[in-house]
Amino acid sequence: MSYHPISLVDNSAKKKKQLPASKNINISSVIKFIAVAVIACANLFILPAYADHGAFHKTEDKARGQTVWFAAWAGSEKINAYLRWAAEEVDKKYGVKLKHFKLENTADAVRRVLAEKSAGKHTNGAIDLIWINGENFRTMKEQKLLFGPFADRLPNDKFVDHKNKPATVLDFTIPTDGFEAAWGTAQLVFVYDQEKVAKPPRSINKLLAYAKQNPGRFTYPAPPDFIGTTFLKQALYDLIGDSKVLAEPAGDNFDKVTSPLWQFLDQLHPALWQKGQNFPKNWPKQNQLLNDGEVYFSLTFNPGDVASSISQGTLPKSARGYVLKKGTIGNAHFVAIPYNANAKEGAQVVANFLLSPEAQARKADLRVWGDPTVLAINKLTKAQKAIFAKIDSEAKIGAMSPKELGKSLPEPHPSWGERLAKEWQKRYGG
Amino acid sequence: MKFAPPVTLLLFLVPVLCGVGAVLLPAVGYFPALDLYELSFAPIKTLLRTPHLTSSILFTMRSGFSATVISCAIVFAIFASFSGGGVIRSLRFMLAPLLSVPHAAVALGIGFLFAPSGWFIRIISPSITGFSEPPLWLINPDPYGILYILALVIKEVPFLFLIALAAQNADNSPKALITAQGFGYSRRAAFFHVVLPTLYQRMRLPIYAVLAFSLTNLEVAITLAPNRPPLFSRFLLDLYNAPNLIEQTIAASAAFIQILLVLIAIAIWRSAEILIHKVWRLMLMQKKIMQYNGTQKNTAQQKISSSTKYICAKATDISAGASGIAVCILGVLAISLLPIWSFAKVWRFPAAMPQEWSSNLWLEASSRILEPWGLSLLLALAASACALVLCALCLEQETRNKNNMTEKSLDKAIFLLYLPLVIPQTSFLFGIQILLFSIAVPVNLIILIWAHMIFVLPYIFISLGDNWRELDKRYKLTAQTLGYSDNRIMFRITIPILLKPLLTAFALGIAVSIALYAPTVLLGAGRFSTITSEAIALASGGDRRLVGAFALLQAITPCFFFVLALLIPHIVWRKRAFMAGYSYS
Repeated sequence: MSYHPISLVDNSAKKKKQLPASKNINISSVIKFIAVAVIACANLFILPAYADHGAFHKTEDKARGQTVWFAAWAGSEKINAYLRWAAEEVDKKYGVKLKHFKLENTADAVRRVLAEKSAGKHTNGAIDLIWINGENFRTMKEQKLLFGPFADRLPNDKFVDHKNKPATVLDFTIPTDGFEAAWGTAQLVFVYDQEKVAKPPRSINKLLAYAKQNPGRFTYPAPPDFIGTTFLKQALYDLIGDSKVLAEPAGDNFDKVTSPLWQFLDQLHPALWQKGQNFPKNWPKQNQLLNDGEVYFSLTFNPGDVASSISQGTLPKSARGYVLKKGTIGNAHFVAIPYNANAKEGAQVVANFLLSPEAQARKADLRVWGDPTVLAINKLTKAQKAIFAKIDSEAKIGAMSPKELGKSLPEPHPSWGERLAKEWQKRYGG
Repeated sequence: MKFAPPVTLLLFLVPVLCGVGAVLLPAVGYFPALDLYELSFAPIKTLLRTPHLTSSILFTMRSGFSATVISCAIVFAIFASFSGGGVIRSLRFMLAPLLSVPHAAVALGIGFLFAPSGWFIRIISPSITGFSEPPLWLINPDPYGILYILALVIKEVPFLFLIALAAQNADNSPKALITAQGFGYSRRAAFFHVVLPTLYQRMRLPIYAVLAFSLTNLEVAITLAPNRPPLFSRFLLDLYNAPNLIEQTIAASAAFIQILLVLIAIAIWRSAEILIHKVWRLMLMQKKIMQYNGTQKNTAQQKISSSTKYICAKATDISAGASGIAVCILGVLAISLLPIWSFAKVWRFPAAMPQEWSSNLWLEASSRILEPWGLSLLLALAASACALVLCALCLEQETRNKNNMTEKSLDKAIFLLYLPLVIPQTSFLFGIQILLFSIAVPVNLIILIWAHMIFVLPYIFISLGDNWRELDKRYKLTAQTLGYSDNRIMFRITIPILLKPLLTAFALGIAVSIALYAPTVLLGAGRFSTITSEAIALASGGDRRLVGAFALLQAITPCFFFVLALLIPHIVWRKRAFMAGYSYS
């Protein structure tokens, strides 16, 4: 058992190695740059389909020297460390300074852009790039708070697996239309404590039966927390069978469609942690409850989270992830550029870098972050595939293979999540 | 000098009032960003229809009042029982460090003490309780919000205690106490009849600030308050965070209601003050009349009553001492377990100490903690220094006006300085933010220092005010007779004598600034990260260990300045013991 808690060790060791060798890197990066330039020029002539890459060079030129403020949730140290690594790389490669605008909640960033718009600050906004998906994306797109379309013009967009990962172009059923660039995929994963639960319940009805037999050991984060809301959507999926209705906006049919869910919750709640009178605030808090032994289950949106949390010590070594028999909800997360961003070129360069095989592979590495890639591995060159082969994605306790994850279900239209959360608060929030 | 009060008020009121205005406009339907230009009451109406609004408001009021009443009761009981004794001095040393610990850290620590999987149950499990798994008890959070109130009390008692200590010394109340005892009153009776009335007057505004904080805080509410029904502050936060932007107008009307809530609470408190005052007076009159009429109880009754009195007195002493000590112990335990967490790798129920240790967190943090720490220090030092100078100038001007009697003064208006303590932070900061955008000021350090100063200044003013005002006028008179100018008197007499309260106020300012979160984040546009903004961003991920590490840093930084504030006067005035100990002792 010699795995190390993520970046903590990795980073410091890397830094030490890099310092004396920095000269060599410069030379080799120059060579690389020439090589890339040659290939890019060749592409211009040989493959007209990739002519965009030429146009993108202009963006890269403009981006040089720009500072990009990336508004991203900062609640996870491993993600913060990954962003520090990305900042070093884009500085080295493109001369772009990437700074993490640390958020406690993505809505803060949406509000900031809104406040700027309301004060008439249509240029030089404080945020250049924003980590976003779902309802926040819909809001910003509808309110015309986004710059774009830009995503389909990114050279690395051609590697993205739009075909097999439809969530990369349909964000909670809302077409991205190039206003956000895919960054990672996610799937709802149930976490259970192997020491306490022999056979995890793989359907919503089995979960109810389990909770009744073992009262007080299951819970879920209180909606409108996004994991909590996703649990409601997941339960709804499992209960109603027919999922077509959820792809359309929720209308007058809301009460009828959701009535099995409320019946289920009415039965489930008395058997929950704290008799359903209180709920954890978010999934990290629920992980903590699991680690403390108060509950046996947790939920996460990142299949790699179980393994990396075990190595960090925020989950016990006996924690394991599983999905429901009929599958669980999957989605993608993105980066978008506010309409009034100060460094739009720099932001596109960063978005493109985040999509590069190198950055995507590192992100998928369980020692780093463990967030699944959005790229199609078969679209990559041999050398690029090799980067993915090197990462540590399955060798650790708690890691989940793609087979274990099974198929993911599409997100319902955002109106369902919104109304479910509202209705939940009305019924159980007071 | 004359300009000090108006300048200070201007620096203050403009942002605060504009901020409130800018956030209230959306409440009545005016929100240009969403193309809403017409006044309407729809947002407020929608808000009033929101389910659970009433229960949330009632719960907020109940817990806010409970926390404030309990904190006041503990502080007054301690002073009634131990005024002038060594107990006060030793309590002071134990309570002062608690003052510098951020609310969020105390809340998290208390949560870990009392949870079903918490430390108190761990130390007696499985040996005594037989629990191999955490029991299914409804604590942390409990349905009545008891833990939430407890955490607030643990944070507010040290604050009120130190304020009372300062006020009491400024009042010369120890002497009044001795005089009253000389007339045959017991210490407690003397305290309640002679000291408390004036002491309370000086503590009124700080108590209102505590009440307002208890009603509006988020730091403690998020960790410890039950979410059915939610506290109003959390209710407001959910509205703010709603992805649907139209809800911003509803959030704005909720912010308006929150301000109303605080004002109503203060009005209730004030009415209670008046009522108690009236009843008290009536009782005293009755007693006087009885004495005058010669209505005397017989000796047997007297005996019983004196022995009951004695028991009652002892009981008050014991409960006052016990509650004071309980606050200290719980507070210290709560904050000392968090640093232990920062070294834990595996620490599962029912182990009372970590099963596997790790120092990775600190190794990793040490490389990148310096920058936010440096910024925290810079902000705290600059904001506290500016605030201290402004406060000193205002107070000097006030005392000079009092001596002249001829000049009209702004003294009365100075209470407005307490506005930022009473108006909920998030409400007006959002407004200030909009204001800054519209005058196109780029984000910079000066604005941030200014924002910190707005919050630091009231505390410095509270802490310094009474010491400055009540400085024995004969010192000044003597100097004036010797031909010194007013300015010279200030530098040669007032400031040296008040060195200790000045330094203590400065340290308090640093503690307040270090713990500030919302101003740094909202006005700093994410460009500036302090140890507190880092800690809270990380705390949203819920990792107790990271929070423990940052809480330790947050706590020791102001502690260092509190220690300096105690030591420097002793070094400077090592040959003048009285000067070193002036006030606060």
